Amino acid sequence: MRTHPYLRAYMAGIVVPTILLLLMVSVFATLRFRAFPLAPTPGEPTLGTALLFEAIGRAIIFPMAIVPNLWGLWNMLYLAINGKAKLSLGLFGALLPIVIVPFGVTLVRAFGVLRVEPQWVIPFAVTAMVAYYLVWKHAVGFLNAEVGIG
Amino acid sequence: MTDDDLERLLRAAVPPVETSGPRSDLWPALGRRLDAPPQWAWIDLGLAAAVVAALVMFPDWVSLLVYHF
Repeated sequence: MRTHPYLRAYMAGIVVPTILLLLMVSVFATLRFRAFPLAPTPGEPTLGTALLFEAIGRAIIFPMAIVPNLWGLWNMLYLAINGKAKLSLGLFGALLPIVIVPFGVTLVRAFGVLRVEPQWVIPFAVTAMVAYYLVWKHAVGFLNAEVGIG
Repeated sequence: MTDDDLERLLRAAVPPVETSGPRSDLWPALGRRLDAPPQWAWIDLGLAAAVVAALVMFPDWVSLLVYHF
């Protein structure tokens, strides 16, 4: 029987960001189409808000497409090197922001959707690494065990 | 001397072997521990508190962090 461990690692890896993406897009869609429907209201400018939502709509491609795939690929990489590198899953996951944060911060600044000060990047990256450590240790570790690769 | 007498003499001469091993099979307990999900250690709770503290100090980071998940 072929067990496809890398496929299972990929699928276990994309679960957490995919679920969070669902929440994120729901909030965005609620704000965009219900809270601020951008219907012309006399006396109220809407162009700035419209442009902001347009920018968010473009920037959201990062958490929508890139982050889940990177998580899946990172989990596959962990499975591939698990026997060679004595690194726990949490610590391995904590290394992922080194790849993701520069990418995400560059996109955020390019689209101008979130405020990012240059002096924030390193302390924010450390915070993201700690958050990733906890999520990878407990959530991805649980999912890996569930699909039989933990 | 019968066989029973010989057995009785042998049992009286040789003290019974005291086993120092475990009274029960430890392998199932080890297997359960290996299969158990990682528990929340104090260090994990401290790290989670540090992340929350950082996000309280810098509220702009909340949306930025969500963007990276």
